Amino acid sequence: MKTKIIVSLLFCCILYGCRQALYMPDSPDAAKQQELLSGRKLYVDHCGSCHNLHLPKERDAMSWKKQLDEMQAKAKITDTEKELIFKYLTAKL
Amino acid sequence: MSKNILLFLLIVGGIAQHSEAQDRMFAYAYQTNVLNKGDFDMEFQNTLATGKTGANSPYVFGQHLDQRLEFEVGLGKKVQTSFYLNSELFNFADTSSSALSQELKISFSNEWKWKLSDPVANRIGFALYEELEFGGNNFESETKLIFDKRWMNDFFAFNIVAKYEIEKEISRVDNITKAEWISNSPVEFNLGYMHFFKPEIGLGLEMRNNNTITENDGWKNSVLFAGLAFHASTGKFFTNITALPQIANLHKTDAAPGNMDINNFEKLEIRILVGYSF
Repeated sequence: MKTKIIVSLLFCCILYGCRQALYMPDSPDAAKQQELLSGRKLYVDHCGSCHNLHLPKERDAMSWKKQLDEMQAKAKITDTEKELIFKYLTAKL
Repeated sequence: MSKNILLFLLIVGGIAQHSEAQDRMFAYAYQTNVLNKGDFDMEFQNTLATGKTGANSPYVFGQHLDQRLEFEVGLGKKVQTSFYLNSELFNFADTSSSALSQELKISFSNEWKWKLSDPVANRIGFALYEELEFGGNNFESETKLIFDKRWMNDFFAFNIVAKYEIEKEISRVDNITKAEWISNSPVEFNLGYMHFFKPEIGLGLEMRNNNTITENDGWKNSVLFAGLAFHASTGKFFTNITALPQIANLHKTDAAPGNMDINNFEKLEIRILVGYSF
């Protein structure tokens, strides 16, 4: 019985830990939702390939802007794509 | 001399300040990261393994120094390929001789990695990996399933590794020298945990379970290595250092009845990995 409880607790911890750390947008505005989803996809595809993704709350808006300007060439993103990523990263700040 | 070192550090600092290196965090365990299309980086890996006594011919001294120079290129669509030059130098002295012997193997490898999910954006990161190695008298195929996950400042990576090795061995019995192909299929499990004190500095643990499986003898041996892992990165550079002492013999046999199997595996391995992202 004790083992079952420990295994169940461990399983719950693993399930909880395996949730998505990077938030999914849930804006009621359809156009904004689409924009944020595009920003998320660009962020994952272009930034998450070379290094582990940083969570949006790890930086403030000014720091994200500076970071995106610095990484733009390396990530091979256009100004429009950079703007979409910035909007996604700062939407919940 | 100190002026040159200062100049070198200034140049490195200047080059390094603007971007992040591809952050491989462990010396042994692989992560799901792949480079963007057209990006490339170089890694230099140095492994010192020592303390093996030799199964058939007991060693007075046995030490392995493996070096790999790797060149990685991102191909786009979350696929990356790498080319390696490998050198394995084995120094040993056994009880049949009074001199130190050396054996050097040079080989070439080509690796492919395909990332299918991300450790932060998805529930779990997952990638498929295949590496083919060609040497003068050996061929090796290494298939990996790579899993990783990040929780805030903690990172986990887990690899399931299946290898197929075939090597030509020379033996001399009754004054007749014979060459024959010997194959085996080792299976490895690698687990890495890293806690980040700062985004650039992490300290953690690595564990490796090696299992030797041969055609004739089946599951021959299994040992567990575990030790400290360190990661540091600055701009375009990163370095990972792991020391793995052998801590347990998981498959005791008549040939290896003790708590450690130093007939077939080294007592200690230390790996240093230095990477530079262009």
